[in-house]
Amino acid sequence: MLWNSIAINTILFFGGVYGVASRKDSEVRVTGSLCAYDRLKVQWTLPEGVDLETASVGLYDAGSALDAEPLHQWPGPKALGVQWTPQQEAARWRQRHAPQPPSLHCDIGGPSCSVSVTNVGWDPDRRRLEVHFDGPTNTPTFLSSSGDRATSPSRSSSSEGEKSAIPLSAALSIHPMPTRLLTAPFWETSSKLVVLVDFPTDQRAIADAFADGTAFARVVLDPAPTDSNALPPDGKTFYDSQEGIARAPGTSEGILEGGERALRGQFSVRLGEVGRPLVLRLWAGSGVQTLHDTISSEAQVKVSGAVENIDSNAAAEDTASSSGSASSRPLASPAAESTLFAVSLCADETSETEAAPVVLHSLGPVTPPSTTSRTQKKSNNPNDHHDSTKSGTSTSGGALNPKPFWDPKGVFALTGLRPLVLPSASLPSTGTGSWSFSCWLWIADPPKGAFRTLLFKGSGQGGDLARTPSAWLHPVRVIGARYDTMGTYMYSHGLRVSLVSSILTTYFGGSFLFNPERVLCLY
Amino acid sequence: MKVAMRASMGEANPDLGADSIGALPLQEWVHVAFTFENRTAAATEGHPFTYG
Repeated sequence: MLWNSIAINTILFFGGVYGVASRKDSEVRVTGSLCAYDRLKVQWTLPEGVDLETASVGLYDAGSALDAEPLHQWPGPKALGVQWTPQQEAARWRQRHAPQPPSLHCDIGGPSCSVSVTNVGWDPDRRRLEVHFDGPTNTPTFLSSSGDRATSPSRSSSSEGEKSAIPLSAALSIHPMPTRLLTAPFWETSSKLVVLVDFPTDQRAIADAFADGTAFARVVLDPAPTDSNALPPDGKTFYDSQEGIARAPGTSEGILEGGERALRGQFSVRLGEVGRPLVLRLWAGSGVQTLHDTISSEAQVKVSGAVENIDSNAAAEDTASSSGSASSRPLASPAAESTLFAVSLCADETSETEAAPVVLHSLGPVTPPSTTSRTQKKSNNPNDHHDSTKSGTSTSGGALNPKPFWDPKGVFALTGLRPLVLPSASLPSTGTGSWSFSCWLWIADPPKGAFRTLLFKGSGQGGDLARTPSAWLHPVRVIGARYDTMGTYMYSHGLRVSLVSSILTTYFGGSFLFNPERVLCLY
Repeated sequence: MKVAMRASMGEANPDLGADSIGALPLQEWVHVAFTFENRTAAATEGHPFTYG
């Protein structure tokens, strides 16, 4: 029985008391005298057959009247108001030892240590999916259709709750998900999960998904989103974990919008653990240029320089180099407008199954904008709709809305520990001062009683914190017709948008996902 | 679902936050678009920004 031996701890705030364990017809004198703030630990056992409804444990004053007070009149006038019942204690015990919802935590870091999916790969020869994390996990074991359990090698001493096997889909979302698994997913290393795909139909579906770039993997969020909302509206490009940026094969990340602003750029490509040579490619318009083909270990690769005539494929120069060095050779002409170029890693000429994350560290200096001036008309209508998908169309007042100067593709999943920062040097140096920010947003966590920053412009440091303007999520659920789920408050004070002297920062106090297309656009 | 908000200063209402409150759903993809106008020059106190 759970309640056969239950330790009870309390702190006594009274001097000179006796502790008595009582079950109507019995008592146990615990100690003769206790001082204030003494910690009294009472361990008692109820014999089987005791009616739990009538059993209780309490403390009595140590006065001489104790013996005179009939215990069967529990709690009685001398009781000090400290009372437990076995039922309550048993319920607490069950709650403490109940299996916890599946979530990902580091073995060494505890719950506050989060891990990220760095990449997901498909090995057609070995017919298996590989999900790589950026650190060791203690993800619960998985239960296969045959009932077998797979265990993380680093979790031999896990608690009873953590050892509970769970369905794969409860902790890890993979698209496409195999319809049936004969063998449970297993941890080949503490940070690498392997899912064997047995059936040809599943294998073909996965191969197709990797070929067209729709495959992704995601660890579960806590609380896990409902199935109906699990997928972004556009499942393409990469997907990710609680935090950080992951990249699925067949996609590109770190796209610079050419046009009139970011004609000079710099990508810093961080390679994770890769087992075979990778190819670094540069796309711009219809041109594809292989920049580097011998990247076989962790390295920093930079692509630097201006873009020049990339569409004509005339001057796509080799500007990639390892170990952080960079070239300044031009890639395209500053006169070219709307040139879109991207950097991607490929495992070979045809697939990108081992492609590593591409991290955009910073953009290079920007060129002054053209003479086209954005004039925005003052509007006090909060319902004015600014739709990022209508790039090039008019906004309020008929002003031309230019294409976004930063328009990355993919999903940024951030918890607040790792904000997404656009360096000051990456922002336009001049303009009217008005600007917009749009993205697809997924708010994973409900309000938790504190303001959560969605985004702000400024350094976020110093006495004034320099967060002007900014957007916040309200700390409480607002009941009402208008903000029935969550309120987003935008404050704007002294707004003189001079982006050259500020840092645009998005900082997230909860779990937020930004999703393509036009994930995160700055205008 | 799409949500669009604009931070702008009205003559009668320099408190910009009052004009810029929206509702966002939880655990659902929503397209948000925030626009900050350059004419928003209300009070310079930074008290809303002491959070977070």
